[in-house]
Amino acid sequence: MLELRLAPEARPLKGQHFSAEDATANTRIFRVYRWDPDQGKNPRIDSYEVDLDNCGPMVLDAIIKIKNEIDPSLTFRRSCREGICGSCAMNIDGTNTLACTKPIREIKGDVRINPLPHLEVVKDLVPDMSHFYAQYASIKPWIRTQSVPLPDKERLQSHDDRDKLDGLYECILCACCSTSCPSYWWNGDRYLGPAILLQAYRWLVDSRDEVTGERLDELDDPFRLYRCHTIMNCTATCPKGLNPAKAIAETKKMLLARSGI
Amino acid sequence: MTLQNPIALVRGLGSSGSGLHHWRSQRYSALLLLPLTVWLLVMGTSLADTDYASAVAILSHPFHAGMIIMLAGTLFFHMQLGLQVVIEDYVHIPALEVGLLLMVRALCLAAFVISVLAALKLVMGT
Repeated sequence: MLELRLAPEARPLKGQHFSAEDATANTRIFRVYRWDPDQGKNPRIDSYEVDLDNCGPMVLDAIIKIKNEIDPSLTFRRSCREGICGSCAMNIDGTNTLACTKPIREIKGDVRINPLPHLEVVKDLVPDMSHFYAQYASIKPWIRTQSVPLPDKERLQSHDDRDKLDGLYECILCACCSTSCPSYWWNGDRYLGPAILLQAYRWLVDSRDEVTGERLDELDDPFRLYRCHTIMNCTATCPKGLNPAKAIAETKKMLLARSGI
Repeated sequence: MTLQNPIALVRGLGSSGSGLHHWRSQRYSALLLLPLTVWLLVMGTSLADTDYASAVAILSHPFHAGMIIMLAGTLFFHMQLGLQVVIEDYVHIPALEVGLLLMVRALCLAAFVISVLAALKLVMGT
């Protein structure tokens, strides 16, 4: 059944406060979700004062500074620090986004940081992505063909056909969109979610792929595809500016076109 | 608790191959409801000033009785499709989910049948 409140043991409590030693006018408070599976306690929200005069411009710079200088136990994923790896996806100021491309100055007041919503938490800001990745694997995200490739040639693609992949290939699978989708919250066990459906569409429209029908067969299901109710949170939150909702709508149109009006 | 591989859980029972039909039915019934609702509003406002006998006389015309049946069929069909989605979205206790889905279908069917009988009663007199 739909649950609007977290279980009592999952509700965050007030945590520790870490004051900056020499607070200036440009000090901001970062309120960060903390949970350690080894402690067997409720999650807590720790607050850290960070001097922004001695910190990089992005939220990721601040949490790296917190880990380096204030609290080394803070756990989060990060890698490329330039919005291409998708590791540092988290909920910042109420919106899922990448910490590395989110400027601190865009946030008014305290900076609230939580893990991506509705995924199991491994520790602190690290969510369990196994189910999400398994869903990605389930759509077979690679080119599949019947024809035999010529041994001395690539599979060619016209400029027009290549253009159809723009707005799709840029997806970095950070899961910001899927974890912002209420339908994915309630039915994520079976609903593939916007990120995976955008990836599925990326292969549906690839002119070199030859199993489009089979891909559509796999999606034609009340839960896998049609749990999308056009809520549009996915498009609103995508840190790469993509439009998963449109990709899903185009997929539905392909299924409609295939079956006849 | 299960030790199944995540990919086994995701693949599950496979694709049902039947999602399009429901989605399309919901869209088409919504489109059909647009003109029917306009008819309902026009009828409702124009009948407000008439007495019972002349209202019966107007609605017993085959066109209007037909519109009543069309409206009831489309409305309760659309309603059943929509409520089905709401229940599937939010109710995850299997017995309750099945019970509610069957109840919604039965109630919508009953509402349709009763509407048709009411329209026919108007046409044929008591």
